Amino acid sequence: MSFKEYKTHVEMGDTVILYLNIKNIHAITVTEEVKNKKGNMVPNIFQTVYGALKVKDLVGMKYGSQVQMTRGWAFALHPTPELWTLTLPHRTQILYTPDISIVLTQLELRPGSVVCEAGTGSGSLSHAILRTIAPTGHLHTFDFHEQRSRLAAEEFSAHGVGDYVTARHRDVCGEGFDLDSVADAVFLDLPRPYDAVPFAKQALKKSGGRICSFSPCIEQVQKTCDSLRKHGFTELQTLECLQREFQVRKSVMSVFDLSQPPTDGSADGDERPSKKAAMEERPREVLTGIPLTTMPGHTGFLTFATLPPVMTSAT
Amino acid sequence: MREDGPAICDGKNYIIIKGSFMKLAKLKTQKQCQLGRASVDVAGLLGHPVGTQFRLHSGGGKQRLMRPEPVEHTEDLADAIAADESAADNRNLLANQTSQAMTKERIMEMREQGATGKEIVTTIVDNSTSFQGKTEFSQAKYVRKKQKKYFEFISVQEPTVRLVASMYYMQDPLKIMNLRVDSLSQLLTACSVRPGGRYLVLESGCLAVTVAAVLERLGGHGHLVHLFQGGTPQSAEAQADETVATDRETVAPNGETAQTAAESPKAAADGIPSSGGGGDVTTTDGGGDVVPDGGDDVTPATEEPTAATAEETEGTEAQESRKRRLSGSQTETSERKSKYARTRCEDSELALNMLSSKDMDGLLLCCRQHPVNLLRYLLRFLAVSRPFTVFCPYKEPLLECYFAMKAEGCIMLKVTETWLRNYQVLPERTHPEINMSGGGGYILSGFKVDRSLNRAAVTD
Ligand SMILES: C[S@@+](CC[C@H](N)C(=O)[O-])C[C@H]1O[C@@H](n2cnc3c(N)ncnc32)[C@H](O)[C@@H]1O
Repeated sequence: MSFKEYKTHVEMGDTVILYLNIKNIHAITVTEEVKNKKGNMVPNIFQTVYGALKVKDLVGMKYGSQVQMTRGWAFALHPTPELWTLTLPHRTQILYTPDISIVLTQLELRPGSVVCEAGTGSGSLSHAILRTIAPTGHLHTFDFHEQRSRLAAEEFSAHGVGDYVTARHRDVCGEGFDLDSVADAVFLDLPRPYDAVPFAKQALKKSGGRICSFSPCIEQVQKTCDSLRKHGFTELQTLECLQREFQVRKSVMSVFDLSQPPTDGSADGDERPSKKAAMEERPREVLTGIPLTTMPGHTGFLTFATLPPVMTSAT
Repeated sequence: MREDGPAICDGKNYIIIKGSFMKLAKLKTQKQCQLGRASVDVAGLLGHPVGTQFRLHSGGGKQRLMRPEPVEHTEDLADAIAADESAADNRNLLANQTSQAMTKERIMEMREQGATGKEIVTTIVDNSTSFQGKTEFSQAKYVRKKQKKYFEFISVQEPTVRLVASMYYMQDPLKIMNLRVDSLSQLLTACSVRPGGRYLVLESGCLAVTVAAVLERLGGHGHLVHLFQGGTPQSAEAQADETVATDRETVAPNGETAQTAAESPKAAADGIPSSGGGGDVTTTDGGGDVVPDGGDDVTPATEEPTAATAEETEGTEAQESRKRRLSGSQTETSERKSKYARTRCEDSELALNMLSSKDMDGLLLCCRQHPVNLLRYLLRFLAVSRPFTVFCPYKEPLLECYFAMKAEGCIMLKVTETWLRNYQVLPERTHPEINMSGGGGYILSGFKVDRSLNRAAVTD
């Protein structure tokens, strides 16, 4: 229930982000028991690289404090949509925070916004949208994969944000959103976003709104832009955003000191630095940020556009 | 005219978009709106739904006022440009001594006959003998310049953070410390800004874009404590902050309904407000200066270059209240006055009370000063398990902050930048845009945690 608002202590049913180190972060649901492979209820024990954790022991702990493990410490963090994106169970490809951040701003989402999203996928973006539009807005999210849609809906209510979202099992390219003039923004992450554009237009308010389509391939972008133009969207913008991370290092580099004249006196007037002078290396500390040797080089193209208000009649 | 949504009204601030040009303007019936060399008749804009697109018709009269006509479709600027970009066919090229065969008179004539901007630009390009000899880069630049001049469509938009931040960045990135809109977006998620939360924002030198952005995300629910240097906030800040108004009925934390209107005490008709002092924006700083009391482990004032003056706003409600103070003799209903009257002094006290509980939900720094000591000092006001984030136009200060925060026991420390590339997408002519921004600033983010178990274990 812990996604709805910040709280100070862990309660039963919460999702806790267990941070061991930067490579080991897990989202766990605090329950006394879990179903094992045979379908029997057994005590909820979570295995980590630092040893086992009796999950129910987290109850009553202060968020942000340390958890004693058999072979070290972990931190019990309060969930945020960003931490959820890092730890959620992947049922599909998901959107990550660098792209999500831009989507939220460019769709002008804020408390009270009504948003349509397709497909729901693993709900990575959905959680960020919900955090931003609650408590007065609403998210309508669609997926034509029955199980994904159901699992996402279960997650939303388990996370305490179920009231702000309607998750439906529906093919939006074939059947549309079943919504008329209610949305401030539409987000599409579909293989054929261009087929959903006319339905998106229908779902947007008469006063206009914003749309975003995320596509990994340029061919999809091409068709989507054509379709957006055809349906009266304006202010088209396609962009790509990559996050570059720097590894922060304090490293030592030796510096040659070539300013001293040779001290061995053997070659007066000889301008060439002597062997000895060249050996005068002094260590110097440098503070630097090194880009990662490999980094995500492409996630997808984000296309944004505006639907202007409907003109009902000329005056 | 429209079934829902607000209409463009007299005396409010809007963003006017004309092709790739953007401008913040306060629309007044009696006045005209200057867009580059063209002046637009404001009366023709008012009353239409916000977001409406207009075609500008060159009008008569002494002032040559452009008459706006609402239209359903506009020409796509990119399309118009790129169509010309690929105009490799030069059969219409006129043999002429001059590089431009089109005369001013001929262009005016075309205009009077109602030719579209696209037609005019195409004709100009077709008649430019030097055009074919230009590199693709300068061809694009040439067309863009002409296009901007002859593009005759505008739209009038609500001044949202998206538009205001992009406008400032377009006008001069250095005015907002190179804070590109994608970086601003990352700051908001790195701090996980959510309605109902309590945020501590230290901003200077960004025309209050980050403050406005956090307020927009709070939407009237929650709290924002804004720290700034010296006695008064940056003069332009009040503007950005009012400009980017949520302009919606929002429920204030106390349950009252607060209507935030985008009214500015200062006519922002000339676009970007100067970041210096002056103008008629006044703030009372008497009694408002409060140096945060750090408790027992108080850090000497020398640690902070900023004599932090605290100011607190509660979403839109306080935004309104500050606006009232700033606007002085602005025409406002007395009802509003009584509802929102709160002095700077009271604001400061509220802010200090809030800070003293040391459980803010997020800490956001975006300042001209070196952030390391400020960050170390302000971290104490953040609750555990909450994120903090620092924006800096340079990478190096953030590297120092990284080590400082590591020493404080913070986790998930990351120094990042985002790389942003725009694309032109057109049939057979899709490619990355020829110009791109080289960088939009750097961000440090992390989480504060409680390591008392560690400490206990060490002392055992
Ligand atoms: C890549 S995933 C979306 C991931 C999501 N944005 C996230 O961040 O978790 C795409 C989803 O779209 C769904 N989908 C594809 N075509 C669809 C359609 N026509 N109608 C509804 N959903 C569709 C797929 O089932 C899949 O779950």
